[in-house]
Amino acid sequence: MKKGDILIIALVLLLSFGIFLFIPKGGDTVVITQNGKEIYRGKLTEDNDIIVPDAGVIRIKNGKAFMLEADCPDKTCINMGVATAAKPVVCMPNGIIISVEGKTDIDAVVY
Amino acid sequence: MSTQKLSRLALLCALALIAHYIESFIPPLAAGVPVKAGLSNIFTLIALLRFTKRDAFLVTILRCVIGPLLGGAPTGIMYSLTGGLFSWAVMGALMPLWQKEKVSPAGMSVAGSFAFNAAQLSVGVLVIGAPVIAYFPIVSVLSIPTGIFVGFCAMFADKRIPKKNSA
Repeated sequence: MKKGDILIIALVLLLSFGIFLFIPKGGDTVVITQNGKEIYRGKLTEDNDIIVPDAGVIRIKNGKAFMLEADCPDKTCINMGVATAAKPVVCMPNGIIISVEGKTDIDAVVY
Repeated sequence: MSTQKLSRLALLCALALIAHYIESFIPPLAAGVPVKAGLSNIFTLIALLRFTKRDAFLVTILRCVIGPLLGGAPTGIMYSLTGGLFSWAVMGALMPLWQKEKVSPAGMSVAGSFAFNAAQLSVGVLVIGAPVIAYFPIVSVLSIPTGIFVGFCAMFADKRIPKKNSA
């Protein structure tokens, strides 16, 4: 290992933590998108099974959203477990993201 | 290009594809994080150390197009090709520093692995959506150990393959 190597490693670490600060931390709304198009939006507290044709099944249960079934070869998305604001579940082959978005505190606006 | 060189580059390419194929049977490094060790990058790195930037470019393009066709989804090509090209560009840019002995292949490989992952995630952001960026920190931190491992593999191979088998 040379001095330049240490510099490269330090730079990579710095960039990783830099981006980490910009990642949202909490939320209550499940948003499912396929290839950038929103296909579902609902509260995390509403139990639901969303079937995405030719891709898989997403289950929302007890405040947890996760990939129940997927027809991709690697099943990485199922292994990703529960989606959170900081860690969305991403299924690359099918272009699906299960993300949790920030609280929309406003239920009603009263003038 | 001489026949000798052609066959040597083809050999590197074939070895990279085998590494890629074997790697698809190894479970992900961290549960639920789409990261692989990038063993096939060993051969791009050897091509850089032993041949020229241009030769390494050929090996990279071929392995990134054929790899996803062998094991995995064809849509993987856009991810692997973008990743491979950025990784090649970064490692190639570090070559003068390596020749001056300012960086070792391990450092080049860490930079290459980081570039590969960053490029791949950027394609993910464009194709799938912005939340993919959430994987950036964990994926780029993991590119440090995987990059070092790959770098050392290439370094050992470079030491043991007789010099007469170079360009």
